[in-house]
Amino acid sequence: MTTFIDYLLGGFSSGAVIALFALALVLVWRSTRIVNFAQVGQAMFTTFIALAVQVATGSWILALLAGLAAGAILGLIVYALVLRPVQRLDTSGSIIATFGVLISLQALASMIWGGDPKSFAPPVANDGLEIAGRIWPISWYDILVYVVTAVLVVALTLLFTRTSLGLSMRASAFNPEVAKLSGIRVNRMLAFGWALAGVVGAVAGVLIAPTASLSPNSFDILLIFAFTAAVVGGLDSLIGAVAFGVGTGLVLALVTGYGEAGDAPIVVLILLAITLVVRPGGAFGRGKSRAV
Amino acid sequence: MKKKLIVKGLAATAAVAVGAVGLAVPSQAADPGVSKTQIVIGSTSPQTGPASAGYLYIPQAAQAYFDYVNKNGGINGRQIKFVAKDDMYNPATTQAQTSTLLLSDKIFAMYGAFGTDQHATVIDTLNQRNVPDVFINTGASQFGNVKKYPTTIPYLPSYAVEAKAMAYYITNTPELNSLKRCFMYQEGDFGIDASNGFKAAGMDFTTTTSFAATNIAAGFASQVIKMKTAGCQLVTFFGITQATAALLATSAKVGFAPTWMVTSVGSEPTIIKGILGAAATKLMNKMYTPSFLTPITDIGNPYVAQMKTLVEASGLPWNFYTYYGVNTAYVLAQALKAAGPDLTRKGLLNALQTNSANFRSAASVPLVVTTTSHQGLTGYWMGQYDTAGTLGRLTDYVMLATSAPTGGAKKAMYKQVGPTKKLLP
Repeated sequence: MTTFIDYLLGGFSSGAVIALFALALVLVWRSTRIVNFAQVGQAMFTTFIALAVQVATGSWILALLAGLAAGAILGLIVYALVLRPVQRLDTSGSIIATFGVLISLQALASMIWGGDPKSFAPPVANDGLEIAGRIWPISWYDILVYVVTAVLVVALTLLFTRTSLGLSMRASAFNPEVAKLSGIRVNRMLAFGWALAGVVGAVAGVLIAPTASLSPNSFDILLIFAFTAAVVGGLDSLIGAVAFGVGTGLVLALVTGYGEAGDAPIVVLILLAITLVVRPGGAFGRGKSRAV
Repeated sequence: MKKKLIVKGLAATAAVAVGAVGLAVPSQAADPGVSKTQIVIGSTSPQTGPASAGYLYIPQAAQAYFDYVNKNGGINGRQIKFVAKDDMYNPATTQAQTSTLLLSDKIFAMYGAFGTDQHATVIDTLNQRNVPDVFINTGASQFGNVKKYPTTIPYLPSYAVEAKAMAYYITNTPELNSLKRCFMYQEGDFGIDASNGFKAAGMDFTTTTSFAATNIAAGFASQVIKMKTAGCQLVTFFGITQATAALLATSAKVGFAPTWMVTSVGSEPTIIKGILGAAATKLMNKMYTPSFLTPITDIGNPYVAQMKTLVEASGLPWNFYTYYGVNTAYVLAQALKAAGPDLTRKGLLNALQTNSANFRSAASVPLVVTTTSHQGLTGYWMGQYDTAGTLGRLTDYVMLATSAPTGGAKKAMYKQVGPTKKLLP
């Protein structure tokens, strides 16, 4: 039984990180109707900037703030320089453009910081907690990650559902023409959406770097899992992204623990396929009420 | 339609026949990639991407050595042009880059092609085209099959040999032999080869677990919990360096502190220090790692001293990978020299197969490359990391083995011959 709990706790830690990235993907989708594959690249890049600040100042908080600022600015740059010009074409064009951004950011990071993985010191200890005479695979740092994830989900849900800004953002993404006619500054809303997603991605990057390591490609695999979680969660649902992000981490942990590590990603992808067949709109997605 | 197919089939047969005749007649024209003034050598390895940590220094160090040779007059009057391509440890990219090397760069030979699954995608092409495929950077024993791959020459001892050496050392060291032992490996031929080596040596494990090289960022929590629950006291590990770092970090987190024994290709301390920061030295303390080269810290050794000077003079860090890169480049240069002034691909392979015992290198074990065996280096000594993160040599003897599916390693003594003058071929 303790082993099972150990697996769950371990899976929870990696799941929280997947959830954060899934959250960023959903955010861009919700505010711009694009799946942003450059998300992990942006997060990686801003985490490198945060690391530089941490090395220079020794402060994790300053590093985090620098990462957040860089995330917002990079989100805006990507939107203004790449997505806005391309968006006039069609959605698939935009999605392919985000791949281009990903590859460019990785190449740029390799040129600036090199390919060797770097360590990112956590602000609180990442040692397993000793409770009832044994060490459990959960640390104060993991708890910090859970708290940040929970706060982000609640805050973002409130923003989208309870504020006029959130309503304007959703309207701009869903139907730009009508939104424009209603007096919403659509481009400004889309830009804000990209900046916000950049910030969430930056948080994810800064939080995951201490538990893994930081290199230009170190977050790549997480994109696949985060994308799975976001799609299964319904792409539109912040709660869905987080629930299935954590769920993906748990599935990976349990399959690896009780079965073969090599089967874990396959099981995740099979679950993705089944969900898409059974509920094309995603588990938490609202089905189309009327097909036009 | 049927008729067309038959015609096509006939045409194909004819083409094959013509090709066969073409092969049978010794070619008069010079081989690609070699002229009076130049030899073009190609290579593929991860220079960017998650698997590039540390390994990216190997081609850089080789380049530094070739520059040094070129400055000193080249080999038989020819300058070496070294074209190192980045494949990001992605087999599909390896294939594309190798095609570019063959068709566009028109290389004379491949050298130091990196990675087991990566090299598996191109080895047939290289052999069909009779391209010398020298000192591949993978220890998978399947590539040492001289009948199947006559132009492929390994250098690294195979992972099977390494597993046998580990098994020999564990069995003959009472304080290790009494421990409950477990095995964790990287999926793919890398891990399978090591498993086969342990099996051949008759070594069994309480628990075995694995991981995918692409999945390191998702963490090793489950693997570590599995081994901790099973009560593992000695863990033998075969994986790339970045995986070793992740394994040590996760184990420290859950208070799992077995005796580690890690493959020589996955334990470079400077890389692990880069990933784990200050904690690395403590986590690596007492970790066992076999090695086949003179210890990198043995500055009194003439190979180590000269290679270190050469590496540092070219602005590279002195670590296991730069050491290894210069060392294999040095052996390749000797083979090219031994192939004589009328350099052909066949001549290079002959030189390797008849002279390999005479080549000088920093290796601490014999190199076996003959017309009947392409084994590469044949064994290991056992080392252990100390509190300063330095690998010290524990055994004055070496443990020699082959990749055969049965039989373990044997104890032997090896006397190294000194380097050539100024480390030139």
